[in-house]
This record gives sequence, structure tokens and C-alpha cells, in this order.
Amino acid sequence: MNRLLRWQHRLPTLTALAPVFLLWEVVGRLEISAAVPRLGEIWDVVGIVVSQPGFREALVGSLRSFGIGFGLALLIGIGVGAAMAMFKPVEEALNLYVNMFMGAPMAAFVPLLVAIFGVGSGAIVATVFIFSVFIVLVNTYAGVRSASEVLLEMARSFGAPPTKRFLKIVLPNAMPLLLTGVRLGFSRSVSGLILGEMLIVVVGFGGLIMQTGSSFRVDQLWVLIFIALSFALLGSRFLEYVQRRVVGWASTQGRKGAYE
Amino acid sequence: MIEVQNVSKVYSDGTRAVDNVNLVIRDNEFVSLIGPSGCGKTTLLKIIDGLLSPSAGQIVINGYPVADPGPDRGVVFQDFALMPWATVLENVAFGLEMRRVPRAERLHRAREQIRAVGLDGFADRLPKQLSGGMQQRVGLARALAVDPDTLLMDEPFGALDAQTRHLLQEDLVELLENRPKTVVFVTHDMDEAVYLSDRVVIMSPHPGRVVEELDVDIERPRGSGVRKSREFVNLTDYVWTRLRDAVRTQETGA
Repeated sequence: MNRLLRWQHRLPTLTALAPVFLLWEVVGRLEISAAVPRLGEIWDVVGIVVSQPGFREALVGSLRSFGIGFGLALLIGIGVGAAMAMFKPVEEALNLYVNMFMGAPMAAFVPLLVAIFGVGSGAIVATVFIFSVFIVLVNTYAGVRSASEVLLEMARSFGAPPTKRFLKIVLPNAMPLLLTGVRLGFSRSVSGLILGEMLIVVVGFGGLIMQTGSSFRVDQLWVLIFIALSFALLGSRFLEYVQRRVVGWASTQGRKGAYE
Repeated sequence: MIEVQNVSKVYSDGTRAVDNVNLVIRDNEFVSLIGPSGCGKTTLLKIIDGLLSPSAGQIVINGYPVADPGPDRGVVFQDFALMPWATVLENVAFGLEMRRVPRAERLHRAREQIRAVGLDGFADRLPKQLSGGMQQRVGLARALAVDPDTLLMDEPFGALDAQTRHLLQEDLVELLENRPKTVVFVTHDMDEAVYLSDRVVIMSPHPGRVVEELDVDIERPRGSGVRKSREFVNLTDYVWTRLRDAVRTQETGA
């Protein structure tokens, strides 16, 4: 029973991929474009890509930059977002900047970050950070702001002091939006990472993509792209799972697991 | 005993929500505050709870002036005010948790109240999985769990359909027979006020004032048949006449 349900829920993903791969294979076999090799050719070079010198280091370095940059984005984004929602002066001081940066094309800031942090991993961490910090911040802000007056009044009438009101009402109420911000921020930070590594210094995973691309190894390039895609997809799926577990109560559907 | 002494509330926009109200509520008395919207009945209830501070006057409970919410009063809210992320059990235990009752004891007491309001077997559900009537039973259980002397109920059944409302009224009466409490009950429903109350306080709006205090001398226990009795019909009729006057005076500006 359990197994059947699992398959039922995976089936749509598989059926969605099948036609794309089929089309891909057809285009590949017809040799229409050098950019689209046969799937088999791509599969054949996986071993070469993964075992090439520097692959491991590139991956580890990228993951480290990503971890630090995204971690900082969560810390600052959640902290400042919550502070803006709770303290009027903080909100008034920062609102303009947040709104300005929310819609800004972040890639434009990359040269600036290089000027500040120099050509190196510092600038890459900063790129990862700046790509996601605002979306995390804005969602946290909105989440904390959305605390219901009715519930806050209820808590007060049962004798809850301000700290308890924050921990028991404001925080749980903010979780759905906060986690949405984290999930959106994750994908943005992955883009930031690859972009930073390609634009700033040709290092890490983005660097590998650059090098492979400029040596016209399209099949190997596709392997790298698939790896990056898988990371973004799996991370995003994992965060969706966390969100479902933590704030399943907020789903509009009545039953638990209605997302599946 | 709850004394409302010369209480007025003026909001910052100048609205006189409550204007010099005096009221004495005896222990274990059921008092309804009834009136059209804007008569300050909910404001007065919140002042009694200490959620709002009066602009003038004071609330004295058992001889002591009170200004803050206290464990002697439990509120049942109009929109249920349940935490959507918490189970029925956690919601009912919330007041006890805020009062620092140890976990094992508060869960035990919460379970007792869940049983008392007829929600056996629903302890682990989320509020959204319950009907409106059941949700308000949770709200009632939460207020009862802290075992207050006084229940403050703010149009608790106003959001429910007529049938459910009747059922909850009857269950409330039964609960109070087993565990007498002082109740201040805000409503705009005349039947509800007369059926439940020992005394009905009729209020008029702009500014919020007490027009009349009316004793309800219908014998208890009151079965659902009471609603058809001559006394009941006469009393609700009378309340309506007084309310109509209050509303008309205001509507015509006379």
C-alpha cells in the first residue's frame, strides 16, 4: 500500500520528464545541433567529468561558499526581517533599501562585490548572500507582521507576557512565510553561486562549467549542468518537505499530506 | 462580585464607546450584555478582562481594583481565537501553559475539559478539521481549563448557525449547572440573552450606555421547552421593544 502510494506520487514527475527526454533523443540522433548530443553520449562522459582532476575540489569549494553565503543570508535575512516587523524605527530606517533591492537585478552588483571583497571566494560568498538575503528578509518580515490581533489578544488574556506572545503566537504564525522565503532564497543562492564562480574567478563548479564550455565539450557541459540542476532541485524538494512537515497546518487542504 | 464603577472608554478618535457605566455582577450570576453594534458591550467586556483600560472609572473584583487579565477570569472569544497550528489538546492547554502549570498536569486537565465539552476523541485534531461549533467548544474548554471564577464570553455563538447555537447554549447551561460560575455574556441575540441569563443588561449606542437591567425570573433548570413558554416570549418581546427604542432614537438622531 505504502509503496503504491509512493509510486503514485512519483509517477507525474517521471511522465513529465519522459517526453522531454524522448524529444531530446530524437533531436540528438538527427544531429540537428551540436548543443544537443544524444543522451547516451552524455551518459558516457559522466565518468570522465566526475573523475577529472579538480572536480572534487571544485565541488567542495562551491558547497562551502554556498553554505557560508546562504547561511549568512538566512541569519541576516531572518534577523533583520523580524526586527523590521517588530520595531517601527528599524522598519522606517530600512524599508526604502529593502524595497529598492528586492526588485533589483542582483547580477549588476557582482562587479561591486569584487571591488569590495577582491577577486576570490569572499566575493563569491557575498554573491550567494546578496542573491537570497532580500527574499528571505521580506518573507520573514511579512510573516512576523501577519500575526493575528485576535490571537495576540487571546494570549494576553491568558496572561502571556510579551516574550511568550512572540514565541507562542508570532513565531509559529510566521513560519509558513518564513520557510517560503528560505525555499525561494535557496534557488536564488544557487544561481548566485554559479554566476559568481563564472563571472568573478573561474573557480569551483561554475568555473568548471566555464572551462568545459569554452573547450566546446558540450556532452561534458551537459553533465555539469545536470549536476547543478539536481542540486537545486533536490535542495528545493527537501525544503518543500521540511515546510510540509513543519507548517502542514497552513495548507488550504483539510488533510495532512494534501501537498502530495 | 464584579463591580463596574463609573466606567467610560473614549477611543483616540473621540468615539465614546462606553459612557459612565455602573454595574454589579454577583457571584455565580449569569449576566448578558445586549445591544446593537456600537453600544460598547464588547468594549466593556474587554475592560472587565483587563485587555482594555478604561478612560475613567474602574473594575473592582471581590473588593480589589483590577487593571490586567488575571487567572480569575477566562475569555471565550467571538472568532474562537484558536491557534491553527496547534492541536485541540494544545489549544485547550494554552491557558495552563501560560500559567506555568507543569506539562503532565496541564495535559491531564486539558483532556478533562475536552471531555467536559463533548470533544472526546478529537484531542489530536487541528482546528480547521473541526466544524465551527466544535471549534467554539475548544474555545470554551480552553477558558474552563484554567478554572476561572468568571467566564467572559464575547458573542461566542454569533458565528454559528441557529441549530448549532441552540445546542451550544443548552450545553453551556448544563456545564454551568455542574460547575457554577459567574458569566458575563455579550450578545445581540434576544432569545439567547433571555434563555441563558439571570439578568439582561440592555445597552444603547453612541455613547454606550446601560438603558435597563432586566431580571429574568424563569425557573432553572431551563429545558429547551422554555423557549416556547409565555414568560420567555414576553421577556424577549420586551427586550426587543427596548432595543428598538434604543436603535430608533439613534437612527433618527432624536
